[in-house]
Parts: sequence; structure tokens; C-alpha cells
Amino acid sequence: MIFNLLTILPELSLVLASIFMLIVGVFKEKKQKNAKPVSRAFSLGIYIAFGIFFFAYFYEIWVSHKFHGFSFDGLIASDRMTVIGKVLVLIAASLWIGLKTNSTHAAVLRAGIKVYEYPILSLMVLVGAFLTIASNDFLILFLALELQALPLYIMITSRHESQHSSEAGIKYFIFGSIATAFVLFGAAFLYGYAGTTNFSPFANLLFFTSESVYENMWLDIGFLFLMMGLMIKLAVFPFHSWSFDVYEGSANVQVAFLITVPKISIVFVLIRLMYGPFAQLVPMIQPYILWLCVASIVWGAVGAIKQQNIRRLLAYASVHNIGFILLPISIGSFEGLQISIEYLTVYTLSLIGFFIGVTSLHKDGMNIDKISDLRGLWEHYPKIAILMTICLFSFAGIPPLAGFWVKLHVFRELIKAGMIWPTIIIAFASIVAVFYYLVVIRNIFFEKSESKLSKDTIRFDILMIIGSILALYPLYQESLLRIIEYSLYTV
Amino acid sequence: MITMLDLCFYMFGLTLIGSVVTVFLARNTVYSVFALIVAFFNSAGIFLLLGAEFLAFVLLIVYVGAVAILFLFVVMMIGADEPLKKKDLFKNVRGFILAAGVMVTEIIVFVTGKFTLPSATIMGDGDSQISNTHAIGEVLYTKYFLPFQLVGILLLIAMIGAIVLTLRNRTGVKRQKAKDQLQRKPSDTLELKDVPIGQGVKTK
Amino acid sequence: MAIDNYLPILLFIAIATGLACTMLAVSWLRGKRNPYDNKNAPYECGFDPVTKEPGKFDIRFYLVGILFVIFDVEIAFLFPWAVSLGKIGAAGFFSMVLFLAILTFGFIYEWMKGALDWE
Repeated sequence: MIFNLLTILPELSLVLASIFMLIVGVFKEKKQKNAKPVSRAFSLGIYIAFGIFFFAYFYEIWVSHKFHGFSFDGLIASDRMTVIGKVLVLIAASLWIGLKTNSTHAAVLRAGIKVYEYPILSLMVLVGAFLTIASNDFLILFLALELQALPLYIMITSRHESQHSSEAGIKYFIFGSIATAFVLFGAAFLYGYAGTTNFSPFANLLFFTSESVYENMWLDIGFLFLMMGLMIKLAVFPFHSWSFDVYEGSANVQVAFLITVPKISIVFVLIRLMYGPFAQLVPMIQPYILWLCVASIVWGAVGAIKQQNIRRLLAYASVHNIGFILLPISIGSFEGLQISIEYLTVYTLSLIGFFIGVTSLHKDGMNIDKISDLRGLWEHYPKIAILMTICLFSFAGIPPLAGFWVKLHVFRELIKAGMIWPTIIIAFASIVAVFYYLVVIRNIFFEKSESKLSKDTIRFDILMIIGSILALYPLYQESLLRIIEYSLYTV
Repeated sequence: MITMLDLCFYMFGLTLIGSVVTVFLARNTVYSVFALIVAFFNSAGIFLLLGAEFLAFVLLIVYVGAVAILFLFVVMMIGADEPLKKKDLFKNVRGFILAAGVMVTEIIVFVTGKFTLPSATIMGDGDSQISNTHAIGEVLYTKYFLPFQLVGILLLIAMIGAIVLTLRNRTGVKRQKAKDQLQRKPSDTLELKDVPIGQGVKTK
Repeated sequence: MAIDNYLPILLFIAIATGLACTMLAVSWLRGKRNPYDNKNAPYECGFDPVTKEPGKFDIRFYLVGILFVIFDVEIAFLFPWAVSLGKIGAAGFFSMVLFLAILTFGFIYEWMKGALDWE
């Protein structure tokens, strides 16, 4: 039992830290109004403690590989894939927690988020995302999905001054609940089929079953509903319509969180489900996922052309890119899986880089809202302009950058699987997508601004690292692919 | 052959579907809430038929006893001024129809030719001696320790959320402060003065 | 417990529904009806109970309500724990203690925050 705790060490430390923060914060706030309950030293302490815990977890699972397998009676999976997922989530989330030491703290305040509970809630999202990645049971999957979503609803709605914030929060809440309801509904059917909520028995059950798996209606419906629920959360094509309003109504720092963390964790759950227990059912659902992905790539590319709002644009870009991430998974090969995680990594890095730029800038004390707000960036801050352009070009898939190579891998994998038509369609769609990234770049470089753009302290070090990874991707590519391959062998 | 159980199941099921349809078709939100309560009762009935007694009664306690009342609060809070117009009910649903269409198509494709009408049976430990509540209690706190604690954390977040989103500290409102009120001494607020005869006291 | 034990409840529901319907139906069929405005009024005097715009509720009702729901769910978890405490031993006991501790922190938080005060 006590050794089991090692496999959820990061989650445990985050929960303890946030409860401690909650209580300390409320007492401090009582003592003096408008106090900053989470002090700099305190958040530094949290970073250090969490770093030690996370390293212990990383060491035990990844390096010494001692606790490989399942813990808590098979509820939690602990293998290298969960580690890589958690690291990715951590990279994506660490800048946007909203603690006082964050460089984005000023942007958080500017967005009108004044409640001190904000960092606590974002830590809870992190716990939920970690557990979602590690879940090996429908019970844990459901609770972790909720744990990830519930604080996000609150975070989005917590900007009291903004009306858009409430609208976005309500929309996200309703669609998130529907998605979770679908997941639960599917899980109930699967439980009815197998008599267990655990993932592990499904593989054997489906492999050794005497009747063909295609014959059992309840199994099929259950799996279908499960997939649909997760796809609503990912905003894949016909289930995408919620994401635009939600992103538009949230602040930039929130979108940076929202667009990466829940999506990474859900992609990892999809991988675990489709390559582990339900591998037998994947051929049945594969054409649907393939064409939904193609549709969302096309829709994300075409719909983004007219957008003025930067977060709305990124919502379309996210629909576009989620298609690229799921396409290789739907092929069902080992290389496809690898490429999907590779794409996810590059996509996350580009997003972080872009958002570091966007959140640190402000115009007349307001956060960047429209694409035209970025005008004059090249004049005032050429370094930021260049690094943000690298991220955007990487999104667009311009040749020497990372985005180009990963897109190339997706195309190669599709052609290898003999899917010529989807490849042609998504190739055209990604050419269309280049257009709207170019619109942003035109605004950054060639348009004159009427009012002055100013910036907060900006994490140039991180931005430089991300820029160099994206620009010199062929150097890193081999080692990244090898890490991913290494992590996947144990699944 | 249709047994009594089947009959009960279809009765509960049909009423459930009917009341759920009423929930979103009723133009007055108060009616929606009452239809929702009927729906909760019927799902409790279905849980009973399935042998899940504990769940049935928790559903009644939590949903009918508390959640439905919350819904009523919300309805009152919004103020059901005007019932919705019939044509407004189906506004802005193109996206939903598209998504629902994709889902329905997929389900039809999957299910065609496989459909059988199931007959109601009691699942679970029909013949075992322990009751439902005992069975849940024996695994929930030990085997399912982790999900149980996660529920606790979820409830904590719900608490934080309710407070963050709805609590406003209004200025100019007198609050009860037990500590200050008990520690009040006469000397803090009362001033005793000798009043010379015929002169009175000057007020500040 | 077998499902048969619920037969009296089913009968009770059936009889209650039947009785209510019969009473309504009989009075509808047999009663004399010649309504006019004053007769239709719910009360002889006083104000109309059905108004067009009900007074808006304060959001604090909602806050108290949702805090109640949370503790209601907590109570629901206590039932199975209480009946099976003999079998699950110390592990089960402390698991509930931990659960209650988490919620107690929440309770301290809401108390200090003043969410339970009614201005």
C-alpha cells in the first residue's frame, strides 16, 4: 500500500500543497484585506518540493523501472508512457499556474483574475490531468476527467468583470458535462459487457472471446460512446463548436492552459484505450476516426481565415492540429503512435512559445485581444517578434522548422498505410492553413500601430529554448523519437 | 413472456423518457424542474428493479432532496418572467443537429442487424445474503480507496467553486462578529458624565 | 434484499395514483360547474398567488444550497461506511477519516471566508 503511493507521488504532493495553500491563504486574507496570500517564498517552496517529488517519481518509474505495472489494485497504471505524458503536461502547464513567481502573474492580474484560489485550482487541473494519463480504470478515468474539468470551469468563470467570461464558463461547463456523460454512458455499456471497470481484462476478453467482437451490439455502442465523449472534449470536427466561444471568452493565460493540458491528457487516454484494451475494436471504428480527423483538419483551416480574434483563431488552429494528432493514432501502427506523440510535443512547444509572447505583451493596459493588436511588434520588440514568428511558422509547417517535419511524418505514415485521398485532402488543407498564420505575421512585421505596445518581464530563456528546438528540429528529432519509442515499449 | 418486473420496467422507463422530454420541451422552467423530479423518481424505480437499492435511495436523497431544490432556486433566481417562445426553443441548433446526425449515423451503422429487445432481469447479488449497502461498504473504502479520496477532493473543489463564483463581500453591511461582540466593554461605547443642575451637557 | 419486499410500495403507489385519479375523475364527471371570475380566484381576499414576475432570489440562497448538497453527498458516503465498519477494519476507518479531513479543510475554508454568514 505504502509503495503504491510512489506511483501517485506528483499528484499527492500537488494535492497537499494546494490544501495547505487554501488554508494559509484564507487565514491571511482574513487578517488583512487584499493581501497576497501566496507569497513568493511560499510558491518557491512549492516548486522545490514538487520538483523533488516529481524527480523521485520520474526516477523510480522511468530510470529504475521498479514500480512498473499497475498500482492500487490495477486502478493506476505506472509505465514510461504515463511518465512521458505527465512530463508533457507539466511542461505545458508550468508557466500558466498563476503563482506569484510565474512570469505570467502580471498577465493574470491584468485579465481581471483577482481571487487567490486561482493557482490552487490550476494545481488541481494538473492533478486531474496526471490522473487521467495514469488511469487504468473507468472509475478513475471518470473522476480524473472531472477533476481536470471542474477547476477549469471555475477558473474560466472567475473573471467577475467580464461578461464573456461567464458565457464561456457556462458553455464549457455544459459541453464538458455532456462529454463526461457520454464517457460514463459508454463505460456503463462496457461494464455491462465485461462485468469489470478495469481496462486490463478487456484485452484478454476481446482477444479470446469466441464470438466475433463485431457481433456484440452493447460492446460496440459502449466503445462508440466512450470515443465520442473523449472527442467532444478534444473538439474534433462535428463536436468542435463549443471551443470557439469558450476560448474567445477566456483570458489569454487561461487559453494557454486550456488549449494544451486537457487535450494532452485525453490524447494519452485515447492512446491507452486504443492500443491496449480495445485494440480489437479499433479496425471497426478506424474509418470514422480517419474521416472525422480529415474533416476537422479541413474545417480548422478554412474556418480560421476570417477570424479577427486571436483566441478564436487559435481555437480553429487547435481543431486543425487535433486532426493531425489523431490521424496517426487511427492508423493503428506503432510508428503512427510514435508520430502522434511527436506531433503533440511539437504542437505543445509551439503553443507555449506563442503564448509566452502574447501574454507578456499588452496594449494600453489591456491584454492582446485581436490579431491587429500585435501590430508594431517588430518595431518595438524585434526579438519577441522573431521568436513568435518561429513558433507560428512551425505551426504552419514552413520547411526548416519542426512543424514541417512532423507534418511530413504524418503524410509519410498515411501514404504507407495506403490512404492516398486523405493525404491529398489534408495537404491542401494545410496549405490553406498557412494563409492565416501569414496574416498574423503580416500584422507583426508590416503594419504600423496606432498605440504603443508594451511588455512585462518575459521569460526569454524559455522562449529561446523553444525557438531553438523548433528551428533546429532535425538535430533533436532522433533523440525525441528514441525517447518516445523507449517509453512506448512497455505499454 | 411479460412478467411483472418487465411491466414495471417499461412503466418506469416510458415515464422517464416522457418526463425527460417534458424537461426540455416545457416552456415554463418551473414545469421543467418538476418534470425533472418525476424523472429522478422513475430512475430510482429503475435502480430498484436492477437491485441497486442503495443507489436508488441515494438518488432520492441527493437528487430529489437537494439538487432539484437547487434547480428551483436557480429558476427563481433567473426569474421565469416570460415563457420561451416556441420558435426560440430551436434557435441556434445547426451545429448540434450536425453532431447529433453524425452520432446517430454511426450508431445506426454499428447496430443494424444486431438489435434485440432485452428482457428485464435482476442483476447483482440476487441470492447472496448481504445487502447492497454492505456490498458497497466493503469495497469502497479499501479496494477503491483512491477513487473515494478523489471524490473528497472533487467535493472540496466544488466548495471552492461555489464560494469563488458566488460570494461577494458587500460593503456597508453589518456582519455578526461574535468575537468583537463578546469582547465589547461598556467603556468602549458608553461615557458617563456628571450633569450639573441647570446647565445640561454639550453634545459633540 | 429481494425485490419482492418492494411489492407493498408498488401497491401503495398504484393505489395512491388510482385513488387520486378516481377522486379527480369522479368530481369532474359528477360535479356541477358554472365558473365565474370570483369563483375561480384562489383566495377570497388577499393578493394573487400567481404573479407575472416573481421576486428574484438572492444568490446567497444558492450558495447555501450548494454547500448543503456537498455535505449531503458526504453523508451519503457515510451510510455504507457505517454499516460495514466491522468488516473493513482500520484501513477502512482511516480512509473515511482522510475523506472527512479533506472536507473539513473545505469547511474551515468556507467558515473563514464568511460564506456561512448571513450579513
